[in-house]
Amino acid sequence: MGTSQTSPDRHPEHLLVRSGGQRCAIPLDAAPQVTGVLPTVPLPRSAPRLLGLAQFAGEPVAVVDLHGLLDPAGLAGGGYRLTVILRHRHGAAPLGLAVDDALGMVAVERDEDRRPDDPPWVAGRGRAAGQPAVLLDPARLFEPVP
Amino acid sequence: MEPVPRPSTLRRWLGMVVLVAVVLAGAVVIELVSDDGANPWPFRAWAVIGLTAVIAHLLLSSLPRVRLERAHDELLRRHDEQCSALRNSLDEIRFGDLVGCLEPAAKLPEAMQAAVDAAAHAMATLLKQIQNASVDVATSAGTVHSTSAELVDGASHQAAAVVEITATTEELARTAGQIATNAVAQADLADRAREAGNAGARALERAVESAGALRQGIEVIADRADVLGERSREIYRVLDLITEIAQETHILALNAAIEASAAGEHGARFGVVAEEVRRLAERSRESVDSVRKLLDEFSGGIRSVVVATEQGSKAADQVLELSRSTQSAIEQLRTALDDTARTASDISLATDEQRTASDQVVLTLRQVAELVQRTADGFRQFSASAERLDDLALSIQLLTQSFRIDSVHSLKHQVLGWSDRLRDATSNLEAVEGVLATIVRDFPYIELAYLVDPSGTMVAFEVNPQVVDEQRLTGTLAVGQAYADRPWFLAVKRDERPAVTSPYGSLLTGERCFTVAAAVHDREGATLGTLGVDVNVRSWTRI
Repeated sequence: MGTSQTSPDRHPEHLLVRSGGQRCAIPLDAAPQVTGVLPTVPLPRSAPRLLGLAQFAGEPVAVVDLHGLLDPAGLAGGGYRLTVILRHRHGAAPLGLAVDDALGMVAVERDEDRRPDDPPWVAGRGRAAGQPAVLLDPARLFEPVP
Repeated sequence: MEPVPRPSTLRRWLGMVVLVAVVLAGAVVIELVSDDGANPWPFRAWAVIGLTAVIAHLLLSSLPRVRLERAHDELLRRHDEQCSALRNSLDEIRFGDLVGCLEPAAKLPEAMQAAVDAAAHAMATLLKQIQNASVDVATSAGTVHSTSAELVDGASHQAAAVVEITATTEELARTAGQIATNAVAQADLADRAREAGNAGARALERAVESAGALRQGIEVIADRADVLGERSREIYRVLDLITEIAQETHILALNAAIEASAAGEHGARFGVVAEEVRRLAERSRESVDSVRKLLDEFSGGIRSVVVATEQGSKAADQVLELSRSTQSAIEQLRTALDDTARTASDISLATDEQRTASDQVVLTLRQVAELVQRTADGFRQFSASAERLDDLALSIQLLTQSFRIDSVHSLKHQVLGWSDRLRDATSNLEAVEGVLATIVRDFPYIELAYLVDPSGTMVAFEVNPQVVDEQRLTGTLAVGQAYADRPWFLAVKRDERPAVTSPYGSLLTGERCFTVAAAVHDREGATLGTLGVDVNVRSWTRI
């Protein structure tokens, strides 16, 4: 813990979270909100990374395992401690990302764009607080999967 | 019979001469006294009377005498012949041939012949009776000998058994003494063990008390460990609450930081505060984790103490239980030791009595052994007597075999019969061997039948395989061997009669045997050889 340090010369733009051993930077543009673990109701015949539906601030929230999003081959490992709520800029229903921990506000130095085999919601890769991190594109999370 | 002395011829005719001279002298006197022949009648009468007297003397005296002398001579001749026949017959009897004695007796007068026949028959009958009696004696002696041998053997075994029993009883007496000694020692040991058991029981009572105190101490520790466990659980609950608060603070700080970032330059200071709050929440959570870790170790220690106290309590219970069981066992042991000491004393007394009884039994057994030994000695003497009686019966049988009687049991008679069968076969060796084979086949008591020529050289032989071992035969017998110095050959040659030898050891069987031999004559009486048969005494007496 304590890896998140706001760069003194750059304004922090990302919320750095950890999920399944991966570090992921979520842009603050997506107006994230952090909450505890939400009790979910599983959906039949849903993808394994979709943990279920929960209720947050009176709204239904689909809770997705972030590790499952970043590594489709990986299974949801459990051990979530926080849920990051993302909202679509056009007012769509919020989306919950189940993460292991939130490490703080960071500025990310982008190193490379997304790879061809990356999922569509991965924007690229960079370094946050001196360590590699995956840059998340939250807007693509609200788009239909091709 | 002595011949009657006869008068000389002169004396035999002297009376006739005197009578003639008297007649002639009377005629001369009559002639002289007569008157010159005037009366011739006295002279003629005298001549007639004188001639009549001479003729009468001749007819009435001389001729009967001559006839009597001739009859006397004939009688003497016949007497000599009969005496010779009688002598020959008696000679045959002297040599034991009660069959051959009848042949010369045929020349004797009928009454004498009948007397010789009766005598020979009576002797043969007597010999048969003697043979039968000797066979019975031999059989009985053999039975007595075998029975007495078995009795000797049994008595010997009995004596040996008595000796063994005596030795065993002596050993038993010694063992009883050792048992008595050991029983006394065991009683002493039991007393000492009982004293040791008493000391052990006292020590065990103290151990039981200590185990009870230990159990109570362990129960106190367990109660205190339970209290500590309860306190730990309360601390856990407080830590959970602190963790929850830190988590909420962490979330709030994160959201505040997010909001501050969204506010841009205006929220920079608030963002710093929010970040600091988040760090404090993070440190609180880390501290709680450290405390939780320490508390986990503490709780683990308490659980270990609880487990240890439970185990200690169980161990104390087991020690207590074992101590009580041991106490009971020691009590039983003390009782058993009392019984052992008492029993050992009883055993000592009983073994003393047993030793005394065993000594008496040994004394009695020695007397019995001596009696059995005397009995065995008596049986041995009895067996030796039976053996001597058997030998005596055999001697009697051999003596009877020195006689030849008309019986299948007369070996001389049998040998003479076989020699007659060989008479016409001597020119054919195969025929001789056939006769010899028939002999040994039909008479199983014969070990060996053989024929030697007049010079005593072996011509042929036949061995009885039922009696003789083939292995012992190798190199023992061979055609061409000289037997001229054998007693049976010399006896037959000397006496020209069948002979029976005394018993001797057979080279073929190793047992006693004797030889019966007889000459083989042709029809003209010339000797062709000697037939011998070796009779196995054991088989013969058995038959």
